[in-house]
Amino acid sequence: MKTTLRELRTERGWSQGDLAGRLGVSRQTVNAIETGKYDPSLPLAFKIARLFRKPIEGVFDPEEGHRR
Amino acid sequence: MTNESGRSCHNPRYILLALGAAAIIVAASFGEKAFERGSAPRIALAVLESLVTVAFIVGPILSIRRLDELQQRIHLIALAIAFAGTGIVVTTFGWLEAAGLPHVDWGLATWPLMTALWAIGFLFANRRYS
Repeated sequence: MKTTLRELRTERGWSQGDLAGRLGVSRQTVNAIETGKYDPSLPLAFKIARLFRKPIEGVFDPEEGHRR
Repeated sequence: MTNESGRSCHNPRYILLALGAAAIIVAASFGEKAFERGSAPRIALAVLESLVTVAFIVGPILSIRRLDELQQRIHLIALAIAFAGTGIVVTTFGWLEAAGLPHVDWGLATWPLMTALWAIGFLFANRRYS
């Protein structure tokens, strides 16, 4: 799944650690989501979308498949 | 591995508890030799070793609940590898023993084997998501 998470995070000047702290997950999880290695659960995806005040499809694009 | 709350699966407290548990098991295994087989004190020490072992095994498993969703997935993969690997090794050795190879005491060897495979599985899964 393609995501704009990295762009959204860097626009705000946050480090991966900053974002991890706001989401209540590890920095490894933020990095894995940004690099497309891990697709977040629905609750975490909603949490990310709410944090950036965007609809969920504004952060994640399910059409851009990533083979895991 | 630490999440935003600073919670860790290799917290020094866990390491100290594990060392304490190992010390109790070693002391009990030496202490029980002073008593006759089948005597009440020897059985009590064996039960103590068993209880400490249960705590030693269940503690780390319960600590996984405090990790985030990716870290839990990594441990699930690691446990699956440990479970399958232990089954393969024990079953294979069972056949090899039947074919004449020396006997292995799996009562003692299974847990260290499973722990080693868990560690290998953790490294494998952790690398996949790093």
